[in-house]
Amino acid sequence: MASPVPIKVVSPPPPPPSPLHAPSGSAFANLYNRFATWRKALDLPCPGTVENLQKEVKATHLTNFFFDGGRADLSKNLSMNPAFQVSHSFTLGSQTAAPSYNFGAVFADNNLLMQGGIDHEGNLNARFNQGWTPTNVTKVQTQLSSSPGHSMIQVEQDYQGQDYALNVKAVNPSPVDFSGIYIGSYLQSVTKNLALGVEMLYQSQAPGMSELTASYLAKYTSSDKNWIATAQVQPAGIVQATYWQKLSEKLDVAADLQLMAMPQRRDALATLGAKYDLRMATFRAQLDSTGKVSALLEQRFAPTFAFLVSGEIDHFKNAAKVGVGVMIESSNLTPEEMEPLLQLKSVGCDKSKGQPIFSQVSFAVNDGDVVVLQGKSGAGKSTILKCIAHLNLYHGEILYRGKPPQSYGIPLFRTRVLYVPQRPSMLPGTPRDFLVAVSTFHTHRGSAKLAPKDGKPDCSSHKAIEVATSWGFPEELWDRRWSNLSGGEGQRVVLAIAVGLDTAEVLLLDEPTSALDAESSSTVEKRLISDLKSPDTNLKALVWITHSPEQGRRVGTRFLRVSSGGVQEEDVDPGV
Amino acid sequence: MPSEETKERIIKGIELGRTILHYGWIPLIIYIGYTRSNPQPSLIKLISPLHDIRHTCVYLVNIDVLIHFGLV
Repeated sequence: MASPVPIKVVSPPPPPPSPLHAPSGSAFANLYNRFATWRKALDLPCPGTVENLQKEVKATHLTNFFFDGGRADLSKNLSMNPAFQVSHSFTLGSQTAAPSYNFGAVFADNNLLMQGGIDHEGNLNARFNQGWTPTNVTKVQTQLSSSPGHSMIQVEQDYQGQDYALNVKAVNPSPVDFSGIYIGSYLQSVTKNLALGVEMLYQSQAPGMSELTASYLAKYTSSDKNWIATAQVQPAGIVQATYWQKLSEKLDVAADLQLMAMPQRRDALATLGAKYDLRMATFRAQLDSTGKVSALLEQRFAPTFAFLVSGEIDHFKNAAKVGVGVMIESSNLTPEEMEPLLQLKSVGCDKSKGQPIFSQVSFAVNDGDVVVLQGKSGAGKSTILKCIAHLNLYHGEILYRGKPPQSYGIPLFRTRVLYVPQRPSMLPGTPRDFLVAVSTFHTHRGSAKLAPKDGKPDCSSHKAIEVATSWGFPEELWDRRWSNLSGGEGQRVVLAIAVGLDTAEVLLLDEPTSALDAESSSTVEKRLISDLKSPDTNLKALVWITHSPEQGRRVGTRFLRVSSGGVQEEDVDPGV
Repeated sequence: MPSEETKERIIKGIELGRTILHYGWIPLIIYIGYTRSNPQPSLIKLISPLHDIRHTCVYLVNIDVLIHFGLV
């Protein structure tokens, strides 16, 4: 088969930013590259997946959380990172469902999710997600039942680009006659706030019997991300519109309107709901146009014990439902291990005259997190890191494993939560002097990798030297004075010492690769991530300041945007 | 279009895969979870729900009371 555009590799290659290697003279490729550059320059946000179009509304409404009768959920967290949990659920006395028992198991690490549930009748629910990159995820979902006709399988591929989301799905595909349901969807940001998309559904029951339907999607997100409106229209006459707004830290409200105007059926349903998040409780209330009023309270009495009450009154049918449940969560981890690694509560920092650099910064860092801090220069990103490491005055609360740094002693705390500056500050002597000095500090001596054999540390085979060498830092430079090292050399050696000491559970990295070329920067990234994942090192989390969005996407698992008002967690969909 | 024979073989293969998945999925998750967990949990904790109930009681009731009655 001859391709209409002959693609051949011709030198010289095009300038590096071009995503497509354009053979000179290929007008199509040139056009594509210009288009890609222009598109990148627009800097449109990722619209989120089609599946999560109404995520906020669904999380606010209680439709997905409601239950009646009695239920008990016992779950056991056997490991936090990777996450491994088993659960037993019992339900009893529901008006709509028979009493049941369900056993569930979940295993998840950074790119794999396996979940399964089996009930007393032997029906299996299974989910499997494999993330190839944070934005490219394969998902399989299946229901297997011993009774014929109740089984289903769904296979999908989810891809999120810089400003679009793409999803292809097959439900019950048959390799014999290719029957099944096939769904493809595409959502594209067209402005900073508005995303438009289309979903095509192709249904083929038997050869010759097929149907293609399209629906159109729109999502409008306000600039401060405090409200979202969505609409989904099927030309056959079905419209669904939703609106969600965060009124305060504690209160979310959502509305959902579904209209159906087809020749055989005309129907409409409107639902209004609110969700209050209190410190130890979540309360949801909802009202809909079929006359149903419902409420659900989830009250947590201890970190591991929650009590649920739900109720629904159907005013038109004069019926009511009540549900009571308990959730018991247990863990073989000590309470200390259940606390987040690092927690900031309303931390603020002022300039000398009482002007705030930032205020109300609250976030938690868990085991395995790579938190990327983004924000304009001068927004206070470096200051936040210095405050965390107790190198700067702050107000508010910083907790390391649930306790303030003072309870560990500041010098010990600083070795566990270690700040790595962007450049080595003016230090006397050579990097080797520095390494010998820090290695003899009492607080660092605990680390087994340093154990000096003859009582005098010589540091000739220190792990830091090994790390630095693997980053292309020649060993002889360890004996050169700090002032004679270049920016990139200084940066690498400081980071290598931090990694080599291996005392830190959290590294606070202030633009750790700003003076490095792309290749060195990538080796450094790889080493940090592999140390983070390795059970043989103490490293458990990274807080990383970077000005490169590409680097952020490569390393980050969570993204925080810093502004004068505090920090905001950016929504990335890990596909789980 | 594949021949009737191939079709039958494919259907048989799918049936077999389905059965393996049906009975093997949960044991597989438990195996992977058990081997890759950090720290590795004990098997008794994995199965017994009693451990959890005692654990929760410790949270709910003042620990001193439990010690007083010799329950812990």
